[in-house]
Amino acid sequence: MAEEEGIDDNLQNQGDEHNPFENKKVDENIVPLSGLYENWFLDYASYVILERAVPALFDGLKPVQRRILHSMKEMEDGRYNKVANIIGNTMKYHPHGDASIGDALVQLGQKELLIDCQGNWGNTLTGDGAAAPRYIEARLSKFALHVAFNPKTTNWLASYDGRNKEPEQLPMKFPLLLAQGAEGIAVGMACNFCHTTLLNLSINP
Amino acid sequence: MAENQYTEDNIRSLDWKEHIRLRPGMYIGKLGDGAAADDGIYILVKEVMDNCIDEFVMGNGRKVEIKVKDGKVSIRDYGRGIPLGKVVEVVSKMNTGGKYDSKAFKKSVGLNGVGTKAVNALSSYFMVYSVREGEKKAASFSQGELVQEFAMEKTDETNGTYVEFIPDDTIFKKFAFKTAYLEKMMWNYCYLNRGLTIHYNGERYNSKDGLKDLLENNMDGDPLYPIIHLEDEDIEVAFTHGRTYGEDYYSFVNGQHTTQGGTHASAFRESVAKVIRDFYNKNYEASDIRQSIVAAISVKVIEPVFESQTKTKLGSQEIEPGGKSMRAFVNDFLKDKLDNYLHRNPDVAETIEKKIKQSERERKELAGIRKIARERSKKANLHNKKLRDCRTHLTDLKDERREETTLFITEGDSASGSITKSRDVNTQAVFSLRGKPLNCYGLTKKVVYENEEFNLIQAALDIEEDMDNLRYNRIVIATDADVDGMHIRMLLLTFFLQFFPDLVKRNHVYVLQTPLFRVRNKKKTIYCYSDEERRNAIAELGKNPEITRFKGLGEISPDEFIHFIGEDIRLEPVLLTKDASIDSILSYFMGKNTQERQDFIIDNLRVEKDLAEATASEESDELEIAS
Repeated sequence: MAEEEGIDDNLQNQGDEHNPFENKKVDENIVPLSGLYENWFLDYASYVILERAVPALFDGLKPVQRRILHSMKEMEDGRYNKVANIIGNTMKYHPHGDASIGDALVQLGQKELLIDCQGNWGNTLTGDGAAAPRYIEARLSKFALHVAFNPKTTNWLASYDGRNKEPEQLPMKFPLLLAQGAEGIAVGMACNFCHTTLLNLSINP
Repeated sequence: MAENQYTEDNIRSLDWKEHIRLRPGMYIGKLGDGAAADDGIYILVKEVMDNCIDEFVMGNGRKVEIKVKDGKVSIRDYGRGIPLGKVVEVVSKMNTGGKYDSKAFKKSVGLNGVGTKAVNALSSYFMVYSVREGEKKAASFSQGELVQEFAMEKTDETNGTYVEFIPDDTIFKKFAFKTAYLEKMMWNYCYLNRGLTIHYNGERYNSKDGLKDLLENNMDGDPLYPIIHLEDEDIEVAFTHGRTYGEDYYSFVNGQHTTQGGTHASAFRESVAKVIRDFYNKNYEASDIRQSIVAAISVKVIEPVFESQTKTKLGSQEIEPGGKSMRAFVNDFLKDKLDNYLHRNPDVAETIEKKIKQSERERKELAGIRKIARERSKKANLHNKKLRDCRTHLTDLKDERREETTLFITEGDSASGSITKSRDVNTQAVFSLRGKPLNCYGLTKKVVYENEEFNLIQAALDIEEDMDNLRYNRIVIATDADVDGMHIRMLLLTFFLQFFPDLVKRNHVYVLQTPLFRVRNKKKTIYCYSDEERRNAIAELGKNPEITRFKGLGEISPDEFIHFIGEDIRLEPVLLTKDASIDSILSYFMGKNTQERQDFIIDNLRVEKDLAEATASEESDELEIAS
């Protein structure tokens, strides 16, 4: 935490000095090309690493997956929900396109662990794609409901527009990362985790 | 109809200063706020500096001091000083000057006696004094109006002229001098006037090798061979070949930087190719010879003719009235000096020939795809489906708004809709990208033809051959203010830097600043461009204002957008500086993943958590008070 604060402070100071809109009449702090690149690059790289492509070690989820699960938990009433509706609800937490949420949900469903699927969800082995989100349905599997949620031990963050709360991480009672595997390509680093069978996991606790 | 009567009352005769203030464009080009290198405030500095330089050229005073602080510019030269009896007239009476008599200032730029007067009329405060043989005469003005004329007094200062002014911020709204531009300007004066020392804000600027220094300091990466530096009476030339695409010229006439070239620059281009071709006695294409050339040329011309008052393009066909033609003058000079140089330095000649052959090979490789490309570009010229064009273009030389032409490159269709609706159709065009452009670092120029998006950008700008036909003066990258927007900025800029570095070098490329927040209550709306502005706005509006964060440009409605691309547009120029070369920046950020870069990312990871935001800003408020 101490480090993070250090970074924040630096940014704050830079912002103050670099503010080109102050009415100073002489603008000393012009940002050179290298500075522009550095700034943009760090913004982008940090985001992709922290918020997009790499899963968290603790719950084994990428942010989009976590948000899908959280939003499905929110909608959970024992019945199947249309995937299109789940996507819509997830958008409260995930400020990106509907297609990216839909694809992430389908991928999660194809692992047949956390999500109970209804309809044609495609097949990773034959390469067939899933049906359109308006046709297929999903709900959380019993397993997911059992291992992934517990509001009392969850750290909550404000969502991007400040209207809702979302979990910082899900309190996973199961080594999901090992069971599900993960892969993602970020900037400057990538991750590739092989998945393991449940049997192996249970033999080597 | 009655309202439109045309009577004697309609005819107005303007006072000189009224005219300058009403039509500043005629005198100093465009106004602007200092974000672009050719904005009015820099021309004001230049006009005053030019007079000092003229003194130096005539052999009077080897030192000029300039200070720019808090918007006030003060310039002191150590020349002969304005004749004391005429101090007021020289700066405030139109068509007055000491340079009409061509003998005194044979080869100067400031001939017409307009410059200083324009500065005077466009300054909220203007003060001049001249020192001659122990006597000093001063006068001060405001907006060209004489405020006070001081009596002659005794002094022990050295001879010379002192001018001090503050640009009028009713004309140059919210102006701010950018130090980088001023530094460049001072350097140019030094390169062209060897022996001159400029003290700019206490720093000493001086050049020993003239144009050679210019190339060394402005070149990107190492030259292929040592810079060839040739000079003769009234002409100085320096050039070498670099590693980037395109041709790069710096041209000067009588110490004036002609950013748009002109007859001397085209004569040089033509001659250098001809002389080199004749030297090898092989039929190389001129474009292959000139590929990657970096050159500077400076000529002295008697009574130069320019295409506008801002003097950025030379129009003189001859080097003096009734004298040798510009083309023959440059050609004779190069034919003699450059040919000799190549004979004396066979290793340089060999390097050049290698480079030419390499360019030739690359061009021939391209020829295959060019065919497809030409068909495509035919289509693109007929109907560029990504482009919503404007009526005026930079190439319409007669149009007075040509300098305002702007191309917005937007990310996706969600943003281009608003801009298209709220833009000024005469001068603002929109190009919408779809998704992220390709990372073209390390690719050859082939990709510009193969990739449809790049091909269409190239067609929209009309820069396939060279920069001469560039259709927009400003190319504005208008992406969202979110992380993907940052990525697109990098990718686009990489494209420009890789294949069209001239666009960036000549300061055509900008990044659009859009507000990050809108803070409003029922009475007032404030748009904030930074966290600090947001905090100020919240403090101003008091309790519970509505705060909207604009992440994407699509969230801004068209009638709001007018404010962000209209008069108050905020543009951040993309400037090249000496601290890092294009190639090193691109290879580091856009090239292969290196251990060094990985460490850099890990060490600088930016963590942002929304939960902490509200408290964090309060904390930093406290910090500021504490410190």
